[in-house]
Amino acid sequence: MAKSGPIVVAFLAGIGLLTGVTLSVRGEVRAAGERLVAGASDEKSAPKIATADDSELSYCTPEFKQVLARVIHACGLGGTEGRRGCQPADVKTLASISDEEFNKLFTPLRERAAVILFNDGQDTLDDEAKKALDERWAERKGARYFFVVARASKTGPVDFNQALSHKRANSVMFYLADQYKDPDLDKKVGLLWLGKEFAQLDETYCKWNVTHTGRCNGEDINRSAFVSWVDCRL
Amino acid sequence: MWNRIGRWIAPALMVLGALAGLAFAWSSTLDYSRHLDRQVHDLRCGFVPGLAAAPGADEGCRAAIYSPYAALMRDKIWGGVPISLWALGTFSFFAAFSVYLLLSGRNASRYAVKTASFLAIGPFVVSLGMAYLSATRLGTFCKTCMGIYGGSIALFSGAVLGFLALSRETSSFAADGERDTAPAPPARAVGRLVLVPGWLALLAAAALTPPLAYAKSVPNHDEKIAACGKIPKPITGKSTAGMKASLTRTVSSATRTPVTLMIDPLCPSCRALHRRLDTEGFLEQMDTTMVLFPLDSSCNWMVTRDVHPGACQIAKAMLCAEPKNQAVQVLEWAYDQQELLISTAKMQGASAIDGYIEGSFPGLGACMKEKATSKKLEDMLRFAVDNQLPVSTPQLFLGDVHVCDEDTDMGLVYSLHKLAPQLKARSF
Repeated sequence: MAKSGPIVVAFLAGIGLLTGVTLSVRGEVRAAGERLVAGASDEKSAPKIATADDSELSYCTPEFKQVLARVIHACGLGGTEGRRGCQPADVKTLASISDEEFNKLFTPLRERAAVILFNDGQDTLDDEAKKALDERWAERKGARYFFVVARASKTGPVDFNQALSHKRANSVMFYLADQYKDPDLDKKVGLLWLGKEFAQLDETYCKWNVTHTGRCNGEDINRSAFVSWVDCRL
Repeated sequence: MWNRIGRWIAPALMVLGALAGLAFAWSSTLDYSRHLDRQVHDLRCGFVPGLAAAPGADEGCRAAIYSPYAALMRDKIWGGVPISLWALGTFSFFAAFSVYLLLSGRNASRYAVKTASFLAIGPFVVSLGMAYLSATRLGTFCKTCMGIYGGSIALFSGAVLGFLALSRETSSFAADGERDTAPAPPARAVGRLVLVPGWLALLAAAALTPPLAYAKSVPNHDEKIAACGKIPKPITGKSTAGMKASLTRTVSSATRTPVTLMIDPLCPSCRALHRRLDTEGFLEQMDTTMVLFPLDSSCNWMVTRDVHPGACQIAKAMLCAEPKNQAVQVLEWAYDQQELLISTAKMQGASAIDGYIEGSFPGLGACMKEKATSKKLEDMLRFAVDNQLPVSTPQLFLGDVHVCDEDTDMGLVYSLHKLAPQLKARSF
């Protein structure tokens, strides 16, 4: 080999290697750049990551959600509406369900709920009621909404009982507002007052988690506010 | 024998070392470059350059490419300029130089052999340094990196042998000359000193070519970095959704940047991010609020399968340790013992974790069972719901700016520097 031969071979080898690796790296960089702009193909095959949300349990049936939606959108849970709570007729019309079916929707909440009993014609919360409310409120877990369904017994005129059940629902709301100072309370707590003419509870509900245990009957159970977190999304 | 070593073995060993180093550096650079699309890809992490690693067998290489030692100029370019690029040019130069020595034989000048021997110290010393950092800072060795180290060692060994052979050649030539016996082979030319700076210039040019080409073609990530937007409900002073925690023992005099870190104490990625932030020197510049988000269905309703069983207990232990200012110690302990805790929870059930917690942090058990503790944890979980965040950890927020998950590994330094210019990475 001529004396300059090794120099030429080595030089060409060096240039070849350097050019080859540089071009291949540049090609990979450009390909990555194209994927970056286009959105990587791997993204399509990658498992989609869920977005954090409130809990939703199996009792959130379409019927249950219908009632829930009624309360949320028409009763002020959106936080922008001017009024809170529902008229009994609204629930009847929009939910289109019987008293029995309405009450049945809440059956899965038996362990999660409390039934706060009031004295006859009264709307004030006693200590036992406040304790039960505190306990239920603390058991939020992943729930989005806190439901208060207030009723009145059959005793007395309809208008009086409607107003009374409204006051009972408000008593719960005012207590929560006063106790927890939660700025988002209006978006969490849904109030329903049913008076005496819709979805009355029967005596079997006395076996639920009620306050005033030991003195509950078919009349007492409706002088009440049913309270529970609801694990449903809308 | 030394004649044969100097003539064939030494340059051949140099050629092989340079080509091996080049192949592994090339493989490593391609792996690095592929990640410029901000996605996670499999790595070609093995002793055969270019061959994909078995699933889960690329952790060493992943630790290496995410480490601060993998690249330079990381605050100027997303991911920085990988140091393997310098190796590409360097090994190409040595491959060419070694080929020249191999083909030239005794026609190669003394200056050429000595220069090759001297320059081969460079890759060898750099490899030693990187191996030291791998052992002491990363605690793991990446196979591709080991391939580069091997190439450097082979190159240096060949260079040393060549130098020794040259020395023997000189002394035996002198001895033969004195004895005036059999005809000695023609003496090796000394060569021209002026070529030495030329070779150095070629080495510099070769070493610089791939990094320059890379820097010129690297895509612009700025638009993507800001794409994760702002969260509507960042943690404020009154919020119970976070836990203030000094995640570093060093107190920086500079004004700290408010940061929220959403973590799962048993999540390996959270540990890796925590350590990256620490290693890079960011933690000491951050006013950190931790949001605990265990990926464990026993307390987190958003998780449908237990990704990290036992994480709820660790999170509750942190909450209970907070009044004693020990929350960070619990977290660091959980990170240190992560493999043990995860395997214990998977084999013996999550309740087995309680024993480990009690052993290391006695007296937290009663508090961990309290409803108030569960409530605190729920408040933290709601931070994710309120801000519509992905159910994943870790997540990092600079004030109300959501740092994209894709920017928390290779692009961490660049992204943080862009989003919060006051945050400076530590120099290495």
